Amino acid sequence: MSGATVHFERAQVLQIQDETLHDSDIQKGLKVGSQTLLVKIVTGEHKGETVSATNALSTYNSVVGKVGSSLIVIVDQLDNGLFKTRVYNYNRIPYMYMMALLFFGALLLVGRKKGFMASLGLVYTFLCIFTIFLPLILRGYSPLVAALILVSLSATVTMILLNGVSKKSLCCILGTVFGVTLSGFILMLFSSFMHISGLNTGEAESLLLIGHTTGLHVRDILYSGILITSLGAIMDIAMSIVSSLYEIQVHSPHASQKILFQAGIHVGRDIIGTMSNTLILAFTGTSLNLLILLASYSVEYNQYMNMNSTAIEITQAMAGSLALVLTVPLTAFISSHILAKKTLEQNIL
Amino acid sequence: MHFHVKKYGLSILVGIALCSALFVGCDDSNNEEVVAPDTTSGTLEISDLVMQPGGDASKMNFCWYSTDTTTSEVQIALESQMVGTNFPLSSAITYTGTIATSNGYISNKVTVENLNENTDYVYRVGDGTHFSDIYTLSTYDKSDYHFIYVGDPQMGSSGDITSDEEGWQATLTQALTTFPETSFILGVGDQVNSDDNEDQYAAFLRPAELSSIPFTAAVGNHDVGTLYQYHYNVPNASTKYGTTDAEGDGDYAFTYGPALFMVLNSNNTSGLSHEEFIKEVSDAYAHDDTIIWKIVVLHHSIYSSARHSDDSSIITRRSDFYPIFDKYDIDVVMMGHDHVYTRSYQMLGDEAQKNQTVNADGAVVNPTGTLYVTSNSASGSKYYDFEENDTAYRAVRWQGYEPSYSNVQMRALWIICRDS
Repeated sequence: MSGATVHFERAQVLQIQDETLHDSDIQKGLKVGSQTLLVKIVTGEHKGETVSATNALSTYNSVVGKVGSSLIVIVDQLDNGLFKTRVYNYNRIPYMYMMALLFFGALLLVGRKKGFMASLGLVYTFLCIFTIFLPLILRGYSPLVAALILVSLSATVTMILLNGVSKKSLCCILGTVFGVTLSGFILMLFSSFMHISGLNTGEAESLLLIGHTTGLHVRDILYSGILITSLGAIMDIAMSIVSSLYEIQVHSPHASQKILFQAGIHVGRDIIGTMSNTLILAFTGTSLNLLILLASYSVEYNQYMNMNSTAIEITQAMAGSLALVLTVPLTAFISSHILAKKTLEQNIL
Repeated sequence: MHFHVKKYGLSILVGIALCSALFVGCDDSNNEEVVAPDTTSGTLEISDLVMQPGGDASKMNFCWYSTDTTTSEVQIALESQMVGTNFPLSSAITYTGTIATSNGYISNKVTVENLNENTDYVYRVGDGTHFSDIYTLSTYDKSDYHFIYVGDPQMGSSGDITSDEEGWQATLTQALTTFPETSFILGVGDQVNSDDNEDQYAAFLRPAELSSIPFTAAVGNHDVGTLYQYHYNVPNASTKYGTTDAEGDGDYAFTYGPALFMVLNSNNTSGLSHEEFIKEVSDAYAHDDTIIWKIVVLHHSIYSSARHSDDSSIITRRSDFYPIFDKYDIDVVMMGHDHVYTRSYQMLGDEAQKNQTVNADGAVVNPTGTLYVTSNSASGSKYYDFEENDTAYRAVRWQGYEPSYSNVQMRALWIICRDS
């Protein structure tokens, strides 16, 4: 953009200079109208300056400025220096940091050393997403390959942090990577039967515009997304199986591969009851708005089941959950082979 | 009507006088008229010829592509002066303009002035030595006229550019057959799908109608980029307000009879920039009593019904723009981007003003607030479905999955925009 710049800055409300507010006709308790606020800009080129900011409140964006509020304002400035300030939204960043700190704090308090390692693993995963995964796909590399790299790195580092370089870690890493790959494969298979891809998502148009200049593979983004979504749950179930089998093997060193495998399946049966709900309910929760709209507008069954957004949500939930369940025998199989001590005859040979 | 009779009456009298003079004392042998054959029309290959309205109804802006030319000229004359198929060079006026290079082509831009109302003209474009074929353009009454409002033709967006072009051509043909004597075609952006694609521009500009009826171009999110400034000769393009890094695409304005049109580049998200532009233009016409209507044209609809209606970038634009349109008493805002026809209620302060005086035809009389209209696809290259949620601001929304256009009748006292 030339001739003008638009920046989002933090600001503190000092005074309400003028306001005409009334209740929204559409939603009780929501204020609509306008305010003129005297604010002190806290960041950016105009840091420290006290200016008047306009605030337009509507049902879809009702930000009520109060004295002392921390808000995000838009500083809209022409090249000649003339600028105007208007309210964008509340400043939510401090609360997000607070929640993150509480989360990590609880992780440390409850998990102690492992909690600390787990938080390091989480930070590492996010670093990978922003420094490896996103740059790769924006340079036109296959989103599937990029996701596989991300998942492998994340699982490996997280496991090593938690359990050091050990057979336990190895089993868990392998179980996770194979489980997650399975979820991607299942999603791709069914998506091809059902004719779904990244081109059917709500953001497809914007993604295609980005793809025009970056080589982004819009179609495959959908399939790579499920690898990241299911990573957490699959790592969880893999670790549960591996951990149980490891304990069994330590206390019964002569347990054969077959016994360990059976044990893994039995342990899996107990956990799968609650684990199978994880992804399905997670997808249901995020789709709540859609469910409500469909329920109240009496959309016909054939229409809403086949809408792109519904089909994508259901397919992802099912692919992830199916892979989650299959991770049990998969991990049990891998772990039982790695953990079982070889018999004397096999050692000699 | 009365004015025409006067003009013709005078011509008839003069004609009779001349004819009488001939019969009384003429010598046939001295009256041989030698008409030189027209050897220069049709000697220049041009493409992508399109006109834009000039700064006001007496001007016209031309833009076309040529190869290996170094000057740009438009020669214009009255159609009545044509002798057979010969361009009436002796009575034509020549206007020169500018050239620029674009993708190996020469982009030519010329402004023609001093056009009269209700007149048929012929014109040709060229470089002074070689000229294109001869084209016609007609002007109509500038205080009582109509224009065709089209949205997002977006050539190439369906993946089948031939089909998109056919749809666009069919819409133009039908619109102009149903509503002949159209003064101009109003576009709201996304003329093409990719800003740097010459094939898409060629498809969009190929209809012959665009060489006889001007088209107001707007910058859509798909047009913003390299080629826009070389294919459109918009009047008074601001170099300060509404521009993007692409350049040549700033806000522009023109008048047409009682209406002042301000075409904003909504890809530039600085509300202040557009506000300064609207202020500058409004101030310039503040004391002009002939201007009754203020109409803003922009691409990114801020009150629409489809998938873009709740994009955060649209909600941000809405809270940025509506206070400006309220402040400067804009009558109508014509928009696109969301590929579903939507007409809002009269809006003020982001709220529907439903208590309006309505006449027997269902039209609002002396309305408060601003009307916001969003167009559907004019070519059929892309349709959006309604969002399931309804909105408090829309009075009418329609998606017929067919290319569509609207006819807007403009009079000094009222604007008629039909939904049907």
